[in-house]
Amino acid sequence: MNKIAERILEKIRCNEITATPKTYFRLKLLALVCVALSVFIVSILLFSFIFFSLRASGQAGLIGFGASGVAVFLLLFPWKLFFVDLFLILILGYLCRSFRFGYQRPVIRSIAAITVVMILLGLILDLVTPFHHMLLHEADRNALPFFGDMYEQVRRPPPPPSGHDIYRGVISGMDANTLAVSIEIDEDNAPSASTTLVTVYLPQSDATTSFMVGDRIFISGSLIEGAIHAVDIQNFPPLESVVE
Amino acid sequence: MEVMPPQLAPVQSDEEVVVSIQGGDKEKFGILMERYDKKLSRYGTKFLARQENIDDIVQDVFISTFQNIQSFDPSLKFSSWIYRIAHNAFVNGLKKQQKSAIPLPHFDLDILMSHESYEDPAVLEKEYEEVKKMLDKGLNELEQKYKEVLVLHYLEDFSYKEISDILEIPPGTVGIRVKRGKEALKKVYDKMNITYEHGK
Repeated sequence: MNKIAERILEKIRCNEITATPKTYFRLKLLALVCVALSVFIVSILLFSFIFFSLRASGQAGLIGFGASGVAVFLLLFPWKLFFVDLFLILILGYLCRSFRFGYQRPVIRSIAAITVVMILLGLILDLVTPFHHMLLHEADRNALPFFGDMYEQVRRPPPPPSGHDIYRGVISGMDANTLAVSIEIDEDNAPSASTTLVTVYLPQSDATTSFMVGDRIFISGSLIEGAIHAVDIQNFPPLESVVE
Repeated sequence: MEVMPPQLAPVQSDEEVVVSIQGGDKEKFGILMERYDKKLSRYGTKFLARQENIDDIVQDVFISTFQNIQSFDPSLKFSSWIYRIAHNAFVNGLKKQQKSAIPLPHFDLDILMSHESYEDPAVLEKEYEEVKKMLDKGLNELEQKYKEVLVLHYLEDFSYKEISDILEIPPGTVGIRVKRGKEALKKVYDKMNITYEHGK
């Protein structure tokens, strides 16, 4: 044995160099697993909330309006939450690389697999469980700290931005060919949207029998002097029926 | 009269020695140091030029190995584990020496992508000696990421899977780096006008 090895062994004998106890490594591993699990759960909750907000606010229906609907959908999409979620996925991918199963697979494949699992679990949480409905009710009672505003946004989502000829409103009355709809108008520089009652002329393919007073609708068409000749209408159920 | 050969004590594997150390037999750490001292010093010469620096780092590697011995899982290969510690220590040593003037890629695009790669024993047999000889002259001209996989595979005799554990990258990435490293090595030889034998 050479001198360096002898010196190290001597220090080990004299307890100048000691082995870190197994418990330390177990606790470290446990902490790592806990952090990874927490990030995983938060990320699923965020995905799930994004799905819930799109469904409950009816924004998902905008895609049915074609290119301009997709544009408005993208403008209203909760990108902040989405990017926070992406960031969490990257953190999780990085944490997974501390484990053998993590670094033995290409990063892209691991991240894609994590994302798919999170999206699926997020969808299940939204569609199958009453989780978000319960939290929304809590938010209504002002009993949901930190996330109350986020849930209230589902009830009061921002109106479609002006200039896209897409409006959101609630039906307040109807006759054979027209609907009376109170729509929200996103006025530039206004702190909040204003509500205006307009007459909506239905497209020929639609009949007022498809609608009920109280329905929430998206209308595609130009607003001219208090009337919209609708090109298309997307109906989505009242929030109460979505969350019940 | 038949003479019986003297009973030789069976040689303990590295992992068995580690289990003894984990159980409290600290003296056995000497066996591991004896087994890896020269190997790690030789590996260090691929990163650093000065022998004193290499010796210092090898000493730190042994100390770190002992301090972390309880974290080693004996169902895995000890050699991969100690080489991982040594590799990180030598890379840090190199960084210090270069004062980070040349950034060493720690996260590379080929870790992101999926690569299918496998070790073909027939090809290895044919090319093994050739690449080993080529590494003598061309190694310093290669990028760090190619250099490390070629050294570990051809000079230290590690498999792709073991290198994957040492460098903490996917085995497919190891395969693609070995392949690209060999191509880069051949280009270096062409540039330097040195001839190499093709598969002889």
